[in-house]
Amino acid sequence: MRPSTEDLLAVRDGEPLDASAKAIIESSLIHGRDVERLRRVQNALRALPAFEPPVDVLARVFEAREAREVGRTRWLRFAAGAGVAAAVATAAIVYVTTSGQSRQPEIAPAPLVASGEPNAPHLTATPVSYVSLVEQSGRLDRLLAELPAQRPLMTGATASTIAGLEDRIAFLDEQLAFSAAGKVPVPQRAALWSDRVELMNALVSVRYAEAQMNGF
Amino acid sequence: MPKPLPQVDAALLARAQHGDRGAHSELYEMFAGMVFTLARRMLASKAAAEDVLQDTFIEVFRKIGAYRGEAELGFWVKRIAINKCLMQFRSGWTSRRCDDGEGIILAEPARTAALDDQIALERALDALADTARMVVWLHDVEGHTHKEIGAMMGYTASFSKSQLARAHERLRELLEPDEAESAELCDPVLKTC
Repeated sequence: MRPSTEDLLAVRDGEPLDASAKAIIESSLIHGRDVERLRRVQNALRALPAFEPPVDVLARVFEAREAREVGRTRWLRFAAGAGVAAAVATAAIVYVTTSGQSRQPEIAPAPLVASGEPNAPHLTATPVSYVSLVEQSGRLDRLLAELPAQRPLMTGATASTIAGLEDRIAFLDEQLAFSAAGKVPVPQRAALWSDRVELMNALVSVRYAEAQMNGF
Repeated sequence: MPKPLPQVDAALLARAQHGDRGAHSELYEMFAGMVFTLARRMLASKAAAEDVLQDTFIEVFRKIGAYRGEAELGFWVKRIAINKCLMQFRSGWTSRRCDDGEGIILAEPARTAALDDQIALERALDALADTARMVVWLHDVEGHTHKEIGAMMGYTASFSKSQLARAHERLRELLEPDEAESAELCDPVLKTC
């Protein structure tokens, strides 16, 4: 029986091996030479010289990091502004609702519409739209995953745009996770998903354009 | 044994973790050669290795604040670099082979036999299939086990073993074509050698 290269490598590396195969290898001068040759190749590979790294890469690393930080700062400013606007809007809605309730306590509730009646789509419109938004978001995630990995050599503007969009999506994902755990009503969550779809669309477009420029 | 990794003192690490640009430059100086060589050997392309070098240090500087010293810093950097190499490989963006001439030394009369052997080995390594080259480098040079390599590449330990065996068979064909041919005919049981 002639030992396989796998068996010879197992002997070289001191790995577990079938006793009969090990005995054949160890009792043969020829196989001993084969093991020694494999050891020599390994030593030669380890002795190969190191390569000198190119000189300008560190500058590019710092540049990419700064571009990312600029994108993040811009997004934080945007998020802070949006947060203030949302807070003002929420306060206004709460004020109008509570003051309306206090002025008209005797108002009759709107009649409920059964799902089989002609007006039913109004009731079911939000959930359907919500589900489709989640699905659309998932499709965009898959599309993005199919694009080639981001090329590190790109303009600062592109890198900044991509980083900004990714940060905003990450921020929305956190809000979505929070809203799911906090049982936030569906319309509010649908609004978040709608924003996510919009941002994902933008990100896929930028990444696709970037990939095309690099011959994808 | 794999080559020892550069040691980083606690003060330098602390500065780097606080975002000190000078400390980042020092870390780059210490590890850039190791990362670039690893990437260049694994991917057989200078352009792809440059991409890996840049990506690796972007991630190192971004995540170093979260490094808690579970493993040596050099090992941590190397793991990031290996992951970047595998991402490059999976992305299909790797510009194949040593198309840039880097690392290939042209014929010189005063060249020694040892240098000839080294050049031949570099060429043979570059000529291996991508997966086989990565496995042979990760196992024989970096010292990873087949189980670790299988896990990193999304395969089994057996896959890593068979790739290593194929890599060595191919290296033998490329480095010792006559020997490899006679080994094919050689059967110690039938005493044909």
